[in-house]
Amino acid sequence: MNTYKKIFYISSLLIGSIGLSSCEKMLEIKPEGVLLADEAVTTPEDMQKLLNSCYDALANQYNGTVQLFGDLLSDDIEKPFDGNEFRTEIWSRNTNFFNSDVGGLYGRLYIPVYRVNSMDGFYDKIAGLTEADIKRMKAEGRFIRAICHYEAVKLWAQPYGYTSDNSHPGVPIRDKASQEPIQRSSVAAVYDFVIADLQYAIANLPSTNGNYADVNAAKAVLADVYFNMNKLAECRTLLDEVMAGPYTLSDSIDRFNQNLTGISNEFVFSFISNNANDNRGGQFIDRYRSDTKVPDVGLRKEIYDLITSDTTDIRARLVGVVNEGQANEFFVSKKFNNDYFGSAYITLTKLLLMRAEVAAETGDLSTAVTDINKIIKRAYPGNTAKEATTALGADLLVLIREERRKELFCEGDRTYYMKRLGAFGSSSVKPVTGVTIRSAPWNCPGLALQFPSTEVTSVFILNETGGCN
Amino acid sequence: MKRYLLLIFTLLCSTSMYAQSIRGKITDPTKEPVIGAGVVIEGTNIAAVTDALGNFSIGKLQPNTKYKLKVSMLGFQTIYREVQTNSTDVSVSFTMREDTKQLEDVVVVGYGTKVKREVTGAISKISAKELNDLPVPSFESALQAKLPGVQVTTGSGAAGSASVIRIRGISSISAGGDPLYVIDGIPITQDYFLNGNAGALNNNPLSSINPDDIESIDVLKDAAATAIYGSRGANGVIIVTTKRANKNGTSFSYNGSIGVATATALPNMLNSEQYLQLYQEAHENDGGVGLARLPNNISWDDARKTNTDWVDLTTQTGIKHRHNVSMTYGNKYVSLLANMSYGKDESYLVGNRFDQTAFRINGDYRISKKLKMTSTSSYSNGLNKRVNTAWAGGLGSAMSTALPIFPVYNPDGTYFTGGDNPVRIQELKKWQTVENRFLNGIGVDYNLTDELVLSAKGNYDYMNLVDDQYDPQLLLNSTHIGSATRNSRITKNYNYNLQLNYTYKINASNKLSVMVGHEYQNSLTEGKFKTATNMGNGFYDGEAKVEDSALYTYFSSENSPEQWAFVGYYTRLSYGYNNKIFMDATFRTDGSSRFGANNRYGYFPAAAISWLLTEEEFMKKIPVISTAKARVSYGKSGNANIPNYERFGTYANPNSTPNYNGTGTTFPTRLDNPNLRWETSWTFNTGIDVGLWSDRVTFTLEYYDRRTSDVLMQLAVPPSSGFSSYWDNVGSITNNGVEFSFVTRNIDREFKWTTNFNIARNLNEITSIGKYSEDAVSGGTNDTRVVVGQPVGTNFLVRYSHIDAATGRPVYLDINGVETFNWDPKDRVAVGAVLPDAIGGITNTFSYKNWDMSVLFNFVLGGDIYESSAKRQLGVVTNWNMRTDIFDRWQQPGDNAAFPRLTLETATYGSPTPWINTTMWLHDGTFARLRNLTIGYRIPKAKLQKLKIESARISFIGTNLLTFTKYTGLDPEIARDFENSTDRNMSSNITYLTPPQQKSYNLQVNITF
Repeated sequence: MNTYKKIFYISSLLIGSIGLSSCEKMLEIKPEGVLLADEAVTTPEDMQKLLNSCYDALANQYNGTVQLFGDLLSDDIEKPFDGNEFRTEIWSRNTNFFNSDVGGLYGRLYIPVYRVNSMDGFYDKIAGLTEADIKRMKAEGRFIRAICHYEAVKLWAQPYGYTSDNSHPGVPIRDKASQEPIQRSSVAAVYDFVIADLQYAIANLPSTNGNYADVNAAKAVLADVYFNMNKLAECRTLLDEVMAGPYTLSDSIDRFNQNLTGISNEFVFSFISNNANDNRGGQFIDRYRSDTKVPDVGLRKEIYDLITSDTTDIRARLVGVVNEGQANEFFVSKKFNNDYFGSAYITLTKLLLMRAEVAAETGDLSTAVTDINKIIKRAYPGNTAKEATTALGADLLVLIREERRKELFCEGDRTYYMKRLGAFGSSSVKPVTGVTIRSAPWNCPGLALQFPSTEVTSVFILNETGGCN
Repeated sequence: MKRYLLLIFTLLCSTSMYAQSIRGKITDPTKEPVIGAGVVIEGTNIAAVTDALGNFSIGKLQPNTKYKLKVSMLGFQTIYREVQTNSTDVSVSFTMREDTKQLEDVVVVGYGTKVKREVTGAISKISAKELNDLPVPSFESALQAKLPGVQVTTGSGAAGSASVIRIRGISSISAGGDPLYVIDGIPITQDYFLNGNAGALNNNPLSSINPDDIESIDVLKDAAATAIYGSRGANGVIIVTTKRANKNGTSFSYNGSIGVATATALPNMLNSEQYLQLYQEAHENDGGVGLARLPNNISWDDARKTNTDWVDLTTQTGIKHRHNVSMTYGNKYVSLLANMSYGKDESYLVGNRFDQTAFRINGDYRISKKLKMTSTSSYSNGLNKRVNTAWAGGLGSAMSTALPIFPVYNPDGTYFTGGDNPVRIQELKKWQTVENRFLNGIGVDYNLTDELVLSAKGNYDYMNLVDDQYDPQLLLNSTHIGSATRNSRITKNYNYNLQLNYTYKINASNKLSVMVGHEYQNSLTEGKFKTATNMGNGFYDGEAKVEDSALYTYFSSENSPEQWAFVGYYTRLSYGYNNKIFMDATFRTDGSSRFGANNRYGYFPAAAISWLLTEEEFMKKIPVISTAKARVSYGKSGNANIPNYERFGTYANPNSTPNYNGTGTTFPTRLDNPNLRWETSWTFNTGIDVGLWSDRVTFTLEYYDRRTSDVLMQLAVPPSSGFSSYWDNVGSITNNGVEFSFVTRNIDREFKWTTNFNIARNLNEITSIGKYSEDAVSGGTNDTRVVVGQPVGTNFLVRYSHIDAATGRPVYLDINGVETFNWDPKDRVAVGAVLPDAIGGITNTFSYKNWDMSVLFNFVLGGDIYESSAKRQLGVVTNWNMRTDIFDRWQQPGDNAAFPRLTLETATYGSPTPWINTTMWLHDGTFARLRNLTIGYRIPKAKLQKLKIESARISFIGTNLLTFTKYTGLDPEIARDFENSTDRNMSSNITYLTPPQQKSYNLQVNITF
């Protein structure tokens, strides 16, 4: 074989081998262990799983995380014992945009929103989805999206009523699955968006829906929205409708202290725990639990004294004192001393407190007394002297507000309630003015959490800095 | 078979049958024999190799004939001499002189070698000897200060830590910014984050490379040199060539060293009395009355009775020793090198050491005149006995949350658990990382003709990394006897290439060579995690589990595999004219699995020309200039070092997602970006290599300008979008700079003095980040950001102004420069850069008779150090111990002090949080360091002959002996643990309790038999 032939053959071999190995498929390596976006959601079952993940993502924030934020800003909680810098910063009501706890929650509240919005792209593509399925799924999605925006606007914006037309900045409204930076909408626009979503949910949700959102859940949430907007008539209408439902007040005050394998009849909407490995109260336990460790956060003496001031109040067993009388004395909550539990989003207790207040504000003292006495009778068993009467008149509101604080401490309610009082309390039948929260004005800048730095763009305005003092 | 038997027979019988011969002895200028020198009679195949005494003999010669001998040896000038035979044997002697001609070195270029004379690109080289004189935990740190433009920041003092290497600055932000490492032809696995940063230590993929195996390291810097690596050359290429047998006969050598290691610096923390005094002062400054409540509710009585020196308890003098035995064998057909190494390297951190056992066999097989095979096989076992460092504990705890008022033990002898106790963790926790690595390759060269060579090579890099942790009952305070976890990763990385090399000498003046090739590389990483309770030991002890108990639990899972592949086609056309003008044109195209079909292939051309001016007549009129070569190149290279699947939008698999309400879930986990594409750099380079006075003085001056576009960035997207980040090609970066290096033989007599100096200045600038803000990409938690007009890794901080003399409070500047007590992150500005202004090194080498000494200083000019942990050690008084620097603090109105008044209240510092980043902790990063001092003595041959030893050298080697800096922290050379590639690119020179470098003293012996 001569040299040139050899060169020809070897070169052919080389080129051939190059050609063989250049197949595109050698470079088309797809990830394993996950689904590619275009093949992940193709059946009605996939859609249900995607919707289910929205509940899961939401539950992971209402496991004590969201509630803790509300508590830290409030006058119920002492400076965090564990010195955690981010929680301390929230407690100080002076968050900055590097606070990863704050930024983390903010982002996680929008995760279900993205998922709900992404579902919109699948409805007309998936064979086998019935009209009823679509109607329900869309309604559940709107319900979840509303809750997320509602929670975000309560934490990251000044409250409804801060300005007369509520044109002050709220939070971004995300109604599409998009990564484009957008600006903050006004608080009025956010509330309108939330109301629209909830009204859609009410119109389309089934009357019962297992452990998922049903029409009463949407009505209860919307009632709470109206309550914070001080739209008392709308609130009352919805409350009456929900409370006509199958809910009964639990005999136990230990809403969180039960191994809840089912749903309490008191719960209008909750996130369910099935077992210790499916704990939906993890952050409650991690932060507040006081029987097995020193909790990360504890109570202020003021709330402890309030709850324990009457020896017949059985809610006293939900609080405790450690190192009593010593220099290092501190107060704790016992609400969450258990290994796992579900997390109640909205309960009959809260609805009763709400309707009692709305009724008292609107002159329906009879309903107000009836509702608040259901709470009182459970808290002070056998102590009829504690029960309210219509004779209290406007002072009934004082009692209702106090009972609300005793019932809902460490459930993240207090700050929003106080902000509402700040915004609308002066027009109450029992006017409240100059509302402060732990010595800070209800509308001070620091009571609106700061947005994360990564949200900042040329169109995005941060909250005012400077804290509350 | 017959053929091989004949070969072996020939080898065994290779004795001369002729009496007429030329015998001789070859020595160096110090009269030491030169072993292994080749002696060839020109124009014939008659040759010999000098033996252990430098002797040679060539027989079978004609009497009364004039022969021209050529004597050659790597590193020496070749000698040509005519020898006349007569009727008897002729004896001759030659003295070989060191070859200092800079243009005759062989350097490794991509997929081949060239003599430096013909090189057109910017390539720097370091040899085995220079590596040998610097005992380093990982070979790459031996490059420090040796090569211009190569910045090496050695890893921390923790055993097995990884260095950070930057070649001519950095062109990447989120894609890996490290150079590509190619060892014997394979781009090796170099994932620094296989284990995240557990224990504040990143994985060091280079630690398993045995420094004793390395023959040379070539660093390719400009596009002419790196473009042949196309897609992966943008941040430079480091080519490691391992040793091979290069002479006939058999020889053995032993290298051994023993040494001790300490820290370059240790912190001065407060003792108990000082801590209590200052804590109380802070309490009283804040208006507190009575005694302050101490951290962790420690009583004052107990605190006063305790004074624990945690720094002392967590540090030690580490012992290290290393041994290497090497054997080479060679004959006409086979050359073999076998290398065995064992080393034990204790760091100065108690409980921390890195052991390495390594084997290598490299072979060259000359099967026929046309067929040649090569093989490389290495195995390395690295055992890292781990301890927590930095933020994770250990010495880091001693510098922070382990307070002097905390005891190690309670009065009853049990461990104290009421606060941070690093001794308890160190003594109880068992943690080891074992890496087993095989690097194997085989190659075939077939000469199709004299001019045409076909080469085929295949390589396999197998890495098995197993991380085991065991926490016993006493540490966990558990009911079961202990828990074990194992995290294992196996990476199988292989490549092959086929290549044709054609060399054609057109005529006496024109030479042409063409190389075309194809390469494929594939890497697959799989991993498993398992954990169990009620274990008596870690998983490395198979008998440890106690299953017959309700306390035993077991969980295991497999990580999703990570796989990538590259397909490349490359060609290089080289042309030489009259041995003075050389041109290279290179083109490579690469396809990567990390990009979609629309952007899969990148195209990387480069062209370069060099002109050896001293070959021109007009230059010969200037005799002082012995060498002058000018070079220019321009070309493109790329970077695709990003996570493997970022182009895909993905959903979680319902089989592995959490349930809600007993029902499965699925959800989007990653945003897709099908348009991801290569990050590319165009580089212009020009340089001149000059030798004066017969190359007694040589210097190189280079200028380069690299412009990188489509920079790959992991961008933070607005969290309200439902995601936190995604990858995109955004923005651009420029690097330009100059490099200057020289070598001077200052004295070249019996006493020799050589100076080797290099300095490099790089200007780095981000020229665009698209529509994004500075916070779109951040260097971990280190407050470095991407700022247009500033370098990669810009310190973006609130400016600290001064201490208010009246109140002792710190005063800052707002965004407009107005003084304020309030710290607000919106007032951050670009105030510093982690990249230095200039880097370099100077080595002075002296020798006199059998003695030699080498002194290497490295230096860094400019750049900033951000001492991130100082804000906790010297700021608001918290549950951290403080450094004694805090003695210089404001105490009363009018004080002029280094630090503000002590306080327990963060508001005093104008912030709700105590941990605020300001320029108070930003320092000039300039330093110079006595990196290496070596004093060696070569034992005279005469004294070794009785022992049948060819050569022996004993040396003392000290590393990091002295540091000159104004930096008040521990160590100005900082490579902290990193969270990801972005952090690694942007946050070098930022310290957060980072263990300082190691200072070591070593005694080394090198013996050849």
